[in-house]
Amino acid sequence: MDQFMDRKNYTHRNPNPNYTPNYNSMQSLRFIQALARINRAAPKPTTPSRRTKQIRRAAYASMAYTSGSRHNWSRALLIRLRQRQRLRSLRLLTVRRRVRIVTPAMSRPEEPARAETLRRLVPGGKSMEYCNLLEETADYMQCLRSQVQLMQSLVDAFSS
Amino acid sequence: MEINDKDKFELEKNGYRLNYQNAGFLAGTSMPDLSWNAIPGTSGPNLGWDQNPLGQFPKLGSFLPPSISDIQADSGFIERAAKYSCFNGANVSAMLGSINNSVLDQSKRSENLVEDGINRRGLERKETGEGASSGGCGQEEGTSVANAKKRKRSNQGNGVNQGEEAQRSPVANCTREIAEKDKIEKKKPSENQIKDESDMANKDEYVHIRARRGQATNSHSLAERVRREKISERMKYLQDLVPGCSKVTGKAVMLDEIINYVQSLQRQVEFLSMKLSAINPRLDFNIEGILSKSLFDPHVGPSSSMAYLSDQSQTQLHRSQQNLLHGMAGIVDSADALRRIANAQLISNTGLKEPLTQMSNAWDGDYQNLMQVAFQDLNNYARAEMPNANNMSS
Repeated sequence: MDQFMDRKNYTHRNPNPNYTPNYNSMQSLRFIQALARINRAAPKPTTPSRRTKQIRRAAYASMAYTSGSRHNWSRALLIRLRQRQRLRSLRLLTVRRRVRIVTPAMSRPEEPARAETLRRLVPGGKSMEYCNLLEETADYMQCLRSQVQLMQSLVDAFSS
Repeated sequence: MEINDKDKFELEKNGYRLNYQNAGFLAGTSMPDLSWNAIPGTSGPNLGWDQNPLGQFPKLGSFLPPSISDIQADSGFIERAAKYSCFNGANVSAMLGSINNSVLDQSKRSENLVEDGINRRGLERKETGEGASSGGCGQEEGTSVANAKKRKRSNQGNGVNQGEEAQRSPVANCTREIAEKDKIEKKKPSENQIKDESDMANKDEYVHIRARRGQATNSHSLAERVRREKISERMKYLQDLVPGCSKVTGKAVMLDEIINYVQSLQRQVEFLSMKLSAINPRLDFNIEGILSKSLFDPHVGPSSSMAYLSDQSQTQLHRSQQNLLHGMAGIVDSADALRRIANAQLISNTGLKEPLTQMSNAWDGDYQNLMQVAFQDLNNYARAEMPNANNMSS
Protein backbone atom coordinates (compact mmCIF):
# COMPACT_ATOMS: atom_id res chain seq x y z
CA MET A 1 0.00 0.00 0.00
CA ASP A 2 2.77 2.40 0.80
CA GLN A 3 4.46 1.53 -2.40
CA PHE A 4 1.34 2.48 -4.20
CA MET A 5 1.36 5.85 -2.57
CA ASP A 6 5.03 6.31 -3.22
CA ARG A 7 4.72 5.54 -6.86
CA LYS A 8 2.17 8.22 -7.26
CA ASN A 9 3.95 10.86 -5.27
CA TYR A 10 7.56 10.11 -5.84
CA THR A 11 9.64 12.88 -7.28
CA HIS A 12 13.00 11.88 -8.60
CA ARG A 13 15.90 13.25 -6.71
CA ASN A 14 17.39 16.19 -8.46
CA PRO A 15 21.01 15.55 -9.42
CA ASN A 16 21.94 19.19 -9.57
CA PRO A 17 24.10 20.06 -6.58
CA ASN A 18 22.87 23.61 -6.50
CA TYR A 19 19.25 22.66 -6.48
CA THR A 20 17.32 24.39 -3.78
CA PRO A 21 13.67 23.46 -3.80
CA ASN A 22 11.31 26.32 -3.63
CA TYR A 23 8.25 25.54 -1.64
CA ASN A 24 5.81 27.04 -4.06
CA SER A 25 7.20 25.35 -7.12
CA MET A 26 7.30 22.00 -5.38
CA GLN A 27 3.72 22.43 -4.38
CA SER A 28 2.64 23.46 -7.85
CA LEU A 29 4.43 20.54 -9.38
CA ARG A 30 2.80 18.03 -7.10
CA PHE A 31 -0.61 19.50 -7.49
CA ILE A 32 -0.44 19.60 -11.23
CA GLN A 33 0.81 16.06 -11.34
CA ALA A 34 -2.11 15.03 -9.23
CA LEU A 35 -4.46 16.87 -11.52
CA ALA A 36 -2.93 15.16 -14.49
CA ARG A 37 -3.46 11.82 -12.83
CA ILE A 38 -7.05 12.61 -12.12
CA ASN A 39 -7.63 13.66 -15.66
CA ARG A 40 -5.96 10.58 -16.95
CA ALA A 41 -8.41 8.50 -15.03
CA ALA A 42 -11.28 10.63 -16.28
CA PRO A 43 -12.69 8.29 -18.94
CA LYS A 44 -14.01 6.17 -16.11
CA PRO A 45 -17.37 7.71 -15.40
CA THR A 46 -17.12 9.89 -12.37
CA THR A 47 -19.73 12.14 -10.99
CA PRO A 48 -18.75 15.75 -10.56
CA SER A 49 -18.93 15.48 -6.82
CA ARG A 50 -16.46 12.62 -6.86
CA ARG A 51 -14.16 14.62 -9.05
CA THR A 52 -14.42 17.55 -6.70
CA LYS A 53 -13.47 15.36 -3.83
CA GLN A 54 -10.56 13.93 -5.74
CA ILE A 55 -9.28 17.34 -6.63
CA ARG A 56 -9.67 18.59 -3.11
CA ARG A 57 -7.86 15.58 -1.82
CA ALA A 58 -5.11 16.22 -4.34
CA ALA A 59 -4.83 19.79 -3.13
CA TYR A 60 -4.39 18.77 0.48
CA ALA A 61 -2.04 16.00 -0.50
CA SER A 62 0.20 18.35 -2.40
CA MET A 63 0.27 20.68 0.56
CA ALA A 64 1.11 17.91 2.96
CA TYR A 65 3.74 16.32 0.78
CA THR A 66 5.64 19.48 0.16
CA SER A 67 5.63 20.31 3.84
CA GLY A 68 6.74 16.81 4.60
CA SER A 69 7.56 15.82 8.12
CA ARG A 70 8.54 19.26 9.18
CA HIS A 71 5.29 20.13 10.78
CA ASN A 72 2.78 18.38 12.90
CA TRP A 73 -0.13 19.32 10.73
CA SER A 74 1.43 17.91 7.58
CA ARG A 75 2.18 14.64 9.31
CA ALA A 76 -1.34 14.40 10.64
CA LEU A 77 -2.73 15.23 7.22
CA LEU A 78 -0.63 12.58 5.54
CA ILE A 79 -1.74 9.99 8.04
CA ARG A 80 -5.33 10.93 7.49
CA LEU A 81 -4.94 10.72 3.73
CA ARG A 82 -3.33 7.32 3.90
CA GLN A 83 -5.97 5.99 6.21
CA ARG A 84 -8.65 7.06 3.82
CA GLN A 85 -6.73 5.59 0.93
CA ARG A 86 -6.55 2.28 2.69
CA LEU A 87 -10.17 2.46 3.60
CA ARG A 88 -11.19 3.11 0.08
CA SER A 89 -9.15 0.44 -1.56
CA LEU A 90 -9.13 -2.36 0.92
CA ARG A 91 -12.37 -1.69 2.74
CA LEU A 92 -10.58 -2.38 5.94
CA LEU A 93 -11.05 -0.49 9.09
CA THR A 94 -8.01 -1.61 10.98
CA VAL A 95 -6.66 1.74 11.92
CA ARG A 96 -3.92 1.67 14.43
CA ARG A 97 -4.21 4.83 16.39
CA ARG A 98 -1.06 6.40 17.62
CA VAL A 99 -1.25 6.63 21.34
CA ARG A 100 -1.04 10.26 22.23
CA ILE A 101 -1.56 11.94 25.49
CA VAL A 102 -4.50 14.11 24.74
CA THR A 103 -5.85 16.40 27.36
CA PRO A 104 -9.53 17.07 26.81
CA ALA A 105 -10.72 20.59 26.40
CA MET A 106 -12.07 20.79 29.89
CA SER A 107 -8.69 20.27 31.41
CA ARG A 108 -7.11 23.14 29.56
CA PRO A 109 -8.58 26.09 31.34
CA GLU A 110 -5.88 28.58 30.49
CA GLU A 111 -6.73 28.62 26.81
CA PRO A 112 -9.19 31.01 25.30
CA ALA A 113 -12.58 29.68 24.40
CA ARG A 114 -12.15 29.54 20.64
CA ALA A 115 -9.04 27.45 20.84
CA GLU A 116 -11.04 24.31 20.37
CA THR A 117 -12.45 25.56 17.10
CA LEU A 118 -8.95 26.18 15.94
CA ARG A 119 -7.97 22.70 16.94
CA ARG A 120 -10.70 21.29 14.79
CA LEU A 121 -9.63 23.36 11.83
CA VAL A 122 -5.96 22.63 11.84
CA PRO A 123 -5.17 18.98 11.12
CA GLY A 124 -3.62 17.25 14.05
CA GLY A 125 -4.56 20.07 16.33
CA LYS A 126 -6.30 18.02 18.91
CA SER A 127 -3.24 16.83 20.70
CA MET A 128 -1.07 19.88 20.57
CA GLU A 129 -0.54 22.39 23.26
CA TYR A 130 -1.84 25.83 22.68
CA CYS A 131 1.59 27.26 22.14
CA ASN A 132 2.45 24.76 19.41
CA LEU A 133 -1.02 25.07 18.00
CA LEU A 134 -0.45 28.71 17.19
CA GLU A 135 2.80 27.96 15.47
CA GLU A 136 1.22 25.20 13.41
CA THR A 137 -1.67 27.44 12.52
CA ALA A 138 0.69 30.02 11.11
CA ASP A 139 2.39 27.50 8.88
CA TYR A 140 -0.85 25.86 7.85
CA MET A 141 -2.26 29.24 6.93
CA GLN A 142 0.71 29.99 4.73
CA CYS A 143 0.46 26.68 2.93
CA LEU A 144 -3.25 27.02 2.46
CA ARG A 145 -2.83 30.48 1.06
CA SER A 146 -0.24 29.35 -1.46
CA GLN A 147 -2.46 26.44 -2.44
CA VAL A 148 -5.40 28.75 -2.98
CA GLN A 149 -3.30 31.05 -5.10
CA LEU A 150 -2.11 28.12 -7.16
CA MET A 151 -5.60 26.81 -7.77
CA GLN A 152 -6.88 30.26 -8.57
CA SER A 153 -4.21 30.78 -11.18
CA LEU A 154 -4.98 27.37 -12.67
CA VAL A 155 -8.64 28.20 -12.92
CA ASP A 156 -7.79 31.50 -14.53
CA ALA A 157 -5.48 29.82 -17.00
CA PHE A 158 -8.01 27.21 -18.01
CA SER A 159 -10.99 29.45 -18.25
CA SER A 160 -9.46 32.28 -20.24
CA MET B 1 19.89 35.05 57.76
CA GLU B 2 22.76 33.31 56.23
CA ILE B 3 24.37 33.79 52.97
CA ASN B 4 24.16 30.77 50.78
CA ASP B 5 27.24 28.79 50.09
CA LYS B 6 27.80 30.31 46.73
CA ASP B 7 27.98 33.72 48.17
CA LYS B 8 30.40 32.67 50.78
CA PHE B 9 32.55 31.07 48.21
CA GLU B 10 32.61 34.15 46.12
CA LEU B 11 33.36 36.28 49.04
CA GLU B 12 36.32 34.18 49.74
CA LYS B 13 37.32 34.37 46.15
CA ASN B 14 37.21 38.10 46.01
CA GLY B 15 38.82 38.57 49.28
CA TYR B 16 36.82 41.33 50.62
CA ARG B 17 34.26 41.74 53.19
CA LEU B 18 31.65 44.28 53.57
CA ASN B 19 30.93 45.43 56.90
CA TYR B 20 27.34 45.96 57.68
CA GLN B 21 27.36 46.40 61.31
CA ASN B 22 29.51 49.41 60.99
CA ALA B 23 27.95 50.54 57.84
CA GLY B 24 25.79 52.58 60.03
CA PHE B 25 28.80 54.76 60.64
CA LEU B 26 28.93 55.51 57.05
CA ALA B 27 25.39 56.55 56.62
CA GLY B 28 25.39 59.96 55.17
CA THR B 29 29.10 60.35 55.42
CA SER B 30 31.66 60.38 52.77
CA MET B 31 34.76 58.42 53.41
CA PRO B 32 37.43 59.57 51.11
CA ASP B 33 40.00 57.40 52.69
CA LEU B 34 38.31 54.26 51.59
CA SER B 35 39.94 52.31 48.93
CA TRP B 36 38.72 49.21 47.29
CA ASN B 37 42.18 47.95 47.03
CA ALA B 38 42.84 47.98 50.67
CA ILE B 39 41.07 44.83 51.38
CA PRO B 40 42.54 42.58 53.93
CA GLY B 41 42.40 38.87 53.61
CA THR B 42 39.27 37.22 54.64
CA SER B 43 38.74 34.51 57.05
CA GLY B 44 36.76 32.41 54.78
CA PRO B 45 33.49 30.68 54.56
CA ASN B 46 32.11 31.52 57.90
CA LEU B 47 31.44 35.00 56.94
CA GLY B 48 27.97 36.16 57.53
CA TRP B 49 26.13 39.33 57.65
CA ASP B 50 26.07 39.38 61.32
CA GLN B 51 29.54 38.13 61.76
CA ASN B 52 31.52 41.06 60.56
CA PRO B 53 33.39 42.33 63.50
CA LEU B 54 33.40 45.99 63.84
CA GLY B 55 36.18 48.03 62.62
CA GLN B 56 38.25 45.32 61.15
CA PHE B 57 37.29 45.74 57.61
CA PRO B 58 37.47 48.48 55.14
CA LYS B 59 34.74 50.92 55.26
CA LEU B 60 33.25 51.42 51.94
CA GLY B 61 32.68 55.01 51.33
CA SER B 62 30.28 56.75 49.17
CA PHE B 63 32.99 58.08 46.97
CA LEU B 64 35.28 55.68 45.37
CA PRO B 65 38.65 56.48 44.02
CA PRO B 66 39.10 56.09 40.35
CA SER B 67 41.15 52.99 40.91
CA ILE B 68 38.07 50.86 41.01
CA SER B 69 38.71 50.00 37.45
CA ASP B 70 41.37 47.59 38.48
CA ILE B 71 39.04 45.73 40.69
CA GLN B 72 38.37 42.44 39.17
CA ALA B 73 35.11 42.55 37.39
CA ASP B 74 33.46 39.56 38.81
CA SER B 75 29.91 38.56 38.60
CA GLY B 76 29.78 37.44 42.17
CA PHE B 77 31.30 40.66 43.26
CA ILE B 78 28.69 42.64 41.50
CA GLU B 79 26.04 40.40 42.85
CA ARG B 80 27.03 40.88 46.35
CA ALA B 81 27.73 44.52 45.92
CA ALA B 82 24.32 45.07 44.55
CA LYS B 83 22.78 42.84 47.10
CA TYR B 84 24.29 44.70 49.95
CA SER B 85 23.13 47.92 48.50
CA CYS B 86 19.62 46.63 48.37
CA PHE B 87 19.36 45.99 51.99
CA ASN B 88 18.85 49.45 53.13
CA GLY B 89 17.05 50.88 50.29
CA ALA B 90 14.79 52.78 52.58
CA ASN B 91 17.61 54.83 53.91
CA VAL B 92 19.44 55.30 50.73
CA SER B 93 16.53 56.60 48.77
CA ALA B 94 16.91 60.06 50.10
CA MET B 95 20.60 60.14 49.36
CA LEU B 96 20.27 58.80 45.94
CA GLY B 97 17.78 61.33 44.82
CA SER B 98 20.21 62.76 42.38
CA ILE B 99 20.76 59.59 40.46
CA ASN B 100 17.24 58.32 40.62
CA ASN B 101 15.99 59.35 37.28
CA SER B 102 18.85 58.23 35.16
CA VAL B 103 19.10 54.97 36.97
CA LEU B 104 15.43 54.24 36.74
CA ASP B 105 15.43 54.84 33.06
CA GLN B 106 18.39 52.64 32.54
CA SER B 107 17.03 49.87 34.62
CA LYS B 108 13.76 50.01 32.80
CA ARG B 109 15.54 49.86 29.51
CA SER B 110 17.65 47.02 30.64
CA GLU B 111 14.56 45.34 31.89
CA ASN B 112 13.08 45.55 28.46
CA LEU B 113 16.22 44.19 26.96
CA VAL B 114 16.17 41.38 29.40
CA GLU B 115 12.62 40.55 28.65
CA ASP B 116 13.39 40.36 25.01
CA GLY B 117 16.23 38.08 25.65
CA ILE B 118 14.29 35.45 27.42
CA ASN B 119 14.76 32.25 25.54
CA ARG B 120 15.70 28.65 25.94
CA ARG B 121 19.32 29.20 25.10
CA GLY B 122 21.19 30.45 28.07
CA LEU B 123 21.49 34.11 28.58
CA GLU B 124 24.99 35.17 29.22
CA ARG B 125 25.21 38.01 31.58
CA LYS B 126 27.32 40.64 30.02
CA GLU B 127 30.05 41.60 32.31
CA THR B 128 30.85 44.79 30.62
CA GLY B 129 31.93 47.79 32.47
CA GLU B 130 31.54 46.17 35.74
CA GLY B 131 34.56 47.79 37.08
CA ALA B 132 32.95 51.14 36.77
CA SER B 133 29.60 49.91 37.77
CA SER B 134 30.93 48.32 40.85
CA GLY B 135 31.75 51.82 41.84
CA GLY B 136 28.12 52.56 41.74
CA CYS B 137 27.40 49.61 43.91
CA GLY B 138 30.05 50.53 46.31
CA GLN B 139 28.66 53.99 46.55
CA GLU B 140 25.45 52.65 47.80
CA GLU B 141 27.15 50.19 49.95
CA GLY B 142 29.04 52.86 51.62
CA THR B 143 25.93 54.63 52.51
CA SER B 144 24.01 51.53 53.32
CA VAL B 145 22.86 50.76 56.71
CA ALA B 146 22.29 47.12 57.09
CA ASN B 147 20.11 45.80 59.72
CA ALA B 148 18.17 42.65 59.68
CA LYS B 149 15.01 44.63 60.07
CA LYS B 150 15.88 47.03 57.38
CA ARG B 151 16.78 44.22 55.08
CA LYS B 152 13.41 42.72 55.55
CA ARG B 153 11.69 46.00 55.12
CA SER B 154 13.68 46.77 52.07
CA ASN B 155 12.48 43.62 50.46
CA GLN B 156 9.17 45.26 49.94
CA GLY B 157 10.75 48.24 48.39
CA ASN B 158 13.32 46.27 46.52
CA GLY B 159 11.51 46.50 43.31
CA VAL B 160 11.60 50.26 43.41
CA ASN B 161 14.93 50.71 44.94
CA GLN B 162 16.73 48.47 42.61
CA GLY B 163 16.37 50.99 39.93
CA GLU B 164 17.55 53.75 42.14
CA GLU B 165 20.61 52.04 43.30
CA ALA B 166 21.92 50.65 40.10
CA GLN B 167 23.80 53.03 38.00
CA ARG B 168 24.45 50.99 34.96
CA SER B 169 22.46 48.34 33.21
CA PRO B 170 24.61 45.38 34.22
CA VAL B 171 24.25 46.51 37.72
CA ALA B 172 20.58 46.89 37.22
CA ASN B 173 20.50 43.38 35.96
CA CYS B 174 22.26 42.03 38.92
CA THR B 175 20.29 44.07 41.35
CA ARG B 176 17.17 42.70 39.90
CA GLU B 177 18.62 39.32 40.07
CA ILE B 178 19.80 39.88 43.56
CA ALA B 179 16.39 41.07 44.51
CA GLU B 180 15.19 37.86 43.10
CA LYS B 181 17.65 36.05 45.19
CA ASP B 182 16.80 38.13 48.19
CA LYS B 183 13.19 37.35 47.94
CA ILE B 184 13.96 33.75 47.67
CA GLU B 185 16.31 33.82 50.55
CA LYS B 186 13.73 35.51 52.58
CA LYS B 187 11.04 33.16 51.60
CA LYS B 188 12.51 29.90 50.58
CA PRO B 189 16.20 29.48 50.30
CA SER B 190 15.89 26.25 48.46
CA GLU B 191 14.44 27.25 45.14
CA ASN B 192 17.06 25.55 43.16
CA GLN B 193 16.04 26.82 39.84
CA ILE B 194 16.40 30.40 40.84
CA LYS B 195 19.70 29.80 42.46
CA ASP B 196 20.92 28.19 39.35
CA GLU B 197 19.75 31.10 37.36
CA SER B 198 21.70 33.40 39.49
CA ASP B 199 24.86 31.46 38.86
CA MET B 200 25.02 32.87 35.45
CA ALA B 201 28.71 32.60 35.01
CA ASN B 202 28.82 28.92 35.68
CA LYS B 203 25.69 27.30 34.39
CA ASP B 204 24.49 28.12 30.97
CA GLU B 205 22.25 25.20 30.34
CA TYR B 206 19.40 26.48 32.42
CA VAL B 207 16.73 28.72 31.17
CA HIS B 208 17.80 32.14 32.26
CA ILE B 209 14.80 34.06 33.23
CA ARG B 210 14.89 37.37 34.90
CA ALA B 211 12.30 38.09 37.43
CA ARG B 212 10.78 41.40 36.73
CA ARG B 213 10.20 43.97 39.31
CA GLY B 214 7.66 43.15 41.87
CA GLN B 215 6.78 39.80 40.42
CA ALA B 216 6.75 36.46 42.06
CA THR B 217 9.82 34.46 41.46
CA ASN B 218 8.97 30.90 42.18
CA SER B 219 9.60 28.50 39.39
CA HIS B 220 5.98 27.93 38.48
CA SER B 221 5.18 31.51 37.81
CA LEU B 222 8.37 31.96 35.87
CA ALA B 223 7.58 29.06 33.60
CA GLU B 224 4.11 30.40 33.24
CA ARG B 225 5.45 33.76 32.26
CA VAL B 226 7.75 32.25 29.66
CA ARG B 227 4.83 30.36 28.21
CA ARG B 228 2.67 33.44 28.08
CA GLU B 229 5.37 35.35 26.31
CA LYS B 230 5.80 32.62 23.77
CA ILE B 231 2.11 32.68 23.11
CA SER B 232 2.01 36.41 22.70
CA GLU B 233 4.97 36.29 20.34
CA ARG B 234 3.17 33.76 18.20
CA MET B 235 0.01 35.79 18.23
CA LYS B 236 1.97 38.73 16.93
CA TYR B 237 3.38 36.62 14.15
CA LEU B 238 -0.07 35.42 13.24
CA GLN B 239 -1.28 38.97 13.26
CA ASP B 240 1.20 39.74 10.53
CA LEU B 241 0.06 36.77 8.50
CA VAL B 242 -3.65 37.39 8.59
CA PRO B 243 -4.46 40.25 6.26
CA GLY B 244 -6.21 43.21 7.75
CA CYS B 245 -5.42 42.47 11.34
CA SER B 246 -2.91 45.12 12.07
CA LYS B 247 -5.20 47.22 14.19
CA VAL B 248 -6.91 44.41 16.00
CA THR B 249 -5.84 44.20 19.59
CA GLY B 250 -6.54 41.57 22.11
CA LYS B 251 -6.14 37.88 21.97
CA ALA B 252 -9.79 36.95 21.78
CA VAL B 253 -10.59 39.08 18.77
CA MET B 254 -7.38 38.03 17.11
CA LEU B 255 -8.21 34.39 17.60
CA ASP B 256 -11.60 34.92 16.02
CA GLU B 257 -9.99 36.55 13.04
CA ILE B 258 -7.55 33.71 12.67
CA ILE B 259 -10.31 31.15 12.78
CA ASN B 260 -12.33 33.06 10.23
CA TYR B 261 -9.38 33.33 7.92
CA VAL B 262 -8.53 29.64 8.08
CA GLN B 263 -12.14 28.73 7.50
CA SER B 264 -12.37 31.06 4.55
CA LEU B 265 -9.20 29.59 3.05
CA GLN B 266 -10.55 26.08 3.39
CA ARG B 267 -13.82 27.11 1.81
CA GLN B 268 -11.91 28.67 -1.03
CA VAL B 269 -10.06 25.42 -1.61
CA GLU B 270 -13.36 23.60 -1.84
CA PHE B 271 -14.82 26.12 -4.20
CA LEU B 272 -11.80 26.16 -6.45
CA SER B 273 -11.68 22.40 -6.57
CA MET B 274 -15.31 22.43 -7.67
CA LYS B 275 -14.40 24.91 -10.35
CA LEU B 276 -11.48 22.82 -11.50
CA SER B 277 -13.62 19.73 -11.70
CA ALA B 278 -16.16 21.71 -13.68
CA ILE B 279 -13.51 22.71 -16.15
CA ASN B 280 -12.38 19.19 -16.83
CA PRO B 281 -15.61 17.65 -18.19
CA ARG B 282 -15.47 20.14 -20.99
CA LEU B 283 -12.76 18.00 -22.40
CA ASP B 284 -13.75 16.06 -25.36
CA PHE B 285 -13.02 12.51 -24.52
CA ASN B 286 -11.94 11.73 -28.03
CA ILE B 287 -9.19 14.17 -27.66
CA GLU B 288 -8.40 12.78 -24.35
CA GLY B 289 -8.14 9.31 -25.75
CA ILE B 290 -5.97 10.34 -28.64
CA LEU B 291 -3.68 12.73 -26.92
CA SER B 292 -3.55 10.84 -23.71
CA LYS B 293 -0.44 9.58 -22.12
CA SER B 294 -0.78 6.32 -23.93
CA LEU B 295 1.11 8.14 -26.63
CA PHE B 296 3.57 9.88 -24.46
CA ASP B 297 3.52 8.08 -21.21
CA PRO B 298 6.45 5.75 -20.75
CA HIS B 299 4.60 3.98 -17.97
CA VAL B 300 2.03 2.78 -20.38
CA GLY B 301 4.53 2.23 -23.16
CA PRO B 302 3.64 3.63 -26.52
CA SER B 303 2.16 1.33 -29.06
CA SER B 304 4.30 0.55 -32.03
CA SER B 305 2.31 2.60 -34.46
CA MET B 306 2.68 5.67 -32.33
CA ALA B 307 6.33 5.24 -31.56
CA TYR B 308 7.44 7.82 -34.05
CA LEU B 309 4.98 10.26 -32.64
CA SER B 310 6.41 9.90 -29.24
CA ASP B 311 9.87 10.50 -30.59
CA GLN B 312 8.76 13.63 -32.25
CA SER B 313 6.93 14.79 -29.21
CA GLN B 314 9.90 14.34 -26.97
CA THR B 315 11.85 17.24 -28.31
CA GLN B 316 8.84 19.46 -28.20
CA LEU B 317 8.01 18.32 -24.74
CA HIS B 318 11.43 19.21 -23.56
CA ARG B 319 10.81 22.67 -24.72
CA SER B 320 7.44 22.66 -23.11
CA GLN B 321 8.88 21.36 -19.92
CA GLN B 322 11.33 24.16 -19.82
CA ASN B 323 8.69 26.64 -20.64
CA LEU B 324 6.45 25.31 -17.99
CA LEU B 325 9.14 25.38 -15.42
CA HIS B 326 10.02 28.87 -16.37
CA GLY B 327 6.50 29.92 -15.92
CA MET B 328 5.84 27.95 -12.81
CA ALA B 329 5.20 31.06 -10.90
CA GLY B 330 3.02 32.51 -13.57
CA ILE B 331 1.09 29.63 -14.89
CA VAL B 332 -0.69 31.69 -17.44
CA ASP B 333 2.56 32.35 -19.24
CA SER B 334 3.29 28.70 -19.54
CA ALA B 335 -0.19 28.14 -20.77
CA ASP B 336 0.51 30.49 -23.62
CA ALA B 337 3.72 28.70 -24.40
CA LEU B 338 1.87 25.45 -24.24
CA ARG B 339 -0.64 26.73 -26.66
CA ARG B 340 2.07 27.43 -29.17
CA ILE B 341 3.64 24.09 -28.62
CA ALA B 342 0.32 22.39 -28.82
CA ASN B 343 -0.18 23.87 -32.22
CA ALA B 344 3.18 22.68 -33.37
CA GLN B 345 2.56 19.23 -32.02
CA LEU B 346 -0.80 18.88 -33.56
CA ILE B 347 0.46 19.94 -36.92
CA SER B 348 3.26 17.45 -36.73
CA ASN B 349 0.92 14.64 -35.91
CA THR B 350 -0.58 14.53 -39.31
CA GLY B 351 -2.46 11.39 -38.59
CA LEU B 352 -4.50 13.20 -36.03
CA LYS B 353 -6.28 15.79 -38.11
CA GLU B 354 -9.56 15.24 -36.43
CA PRO B 355 -8.54 16.52 -33.05
CA LEU B 356 -7.19 19.68 -34.60
CA THR B 357 -10.60 21.07 -35.36
CA GLN B 358 -11.87 19.97 -32.05
CA MET B 359 -8.90 21.41 -30.30
CA SER B 360 -9.34 24.75 -31.87
CA ASN B 361 -12.74 24.85 -30.28
CA ALA B 362 -11.67 23.61 -26.97
CA TRP B 363 -8.43 25.20 -25.90
CA ASP B 364 -9.16 24.21 -22.40
CA GLY B 365 -8.66 20.64 -23.23
CA ASP B 366 -5.50 21.57 -24.97
CA TYR B 367 -4.04 23.23 -21.95
CA GLN B 368 -5.17 20.39 -19.83
CA ASN B 369 -3.64 17.72 -21.98
CA LEU B 370 -0.43 19.49 -22.53
CA MET B 371 -0.01 20.30 -18.93
CA GLN B 372 -0.73 16.69 -18.13
CA VAL B 373 1.70 15.51 -20.67
CA ALA B 374 4.37 17.95 -19.81
CA PHE B 375 4.19 17.46 -16.13
CA GLN B 376 3.86 13.76 -16.42
CA ASP B 377 7.04 13.72 -18.35
CA LEU B 378 8.87 16.02 -16.04
CA ASN B 379 9.56 13.14 -13.82
CA ASN B 380 10.61 10.80 -16.52
CA TYR B 381 12.38 12.72 -19.21
CA ALA B 382 15.39 14.94 -19.22
CA ARG B 383 16.48 14.98 -15.61
CA ALA B 384 19.27 17.21 -16.63
CA GLU B 385 16.95 19.85 -17.90
CA MET B 386 15.00 20.06 -14.74
CA PRO B 387 17.77 21.38 -12.57
CA ASN B 388 18.50 24.16 -15.00
CA ALA B 389 14.90 25.02 -15.29
CA ASN B 390 14.34 24.82 -11.59
CA ASN B 391 17.24 27.08 -10.95
CA MET B 392 15.86 29.58 -13.32
CA SER B 393 12.38 29.39 -12.01
CA SER B 394 13.09 29.37 -8.31
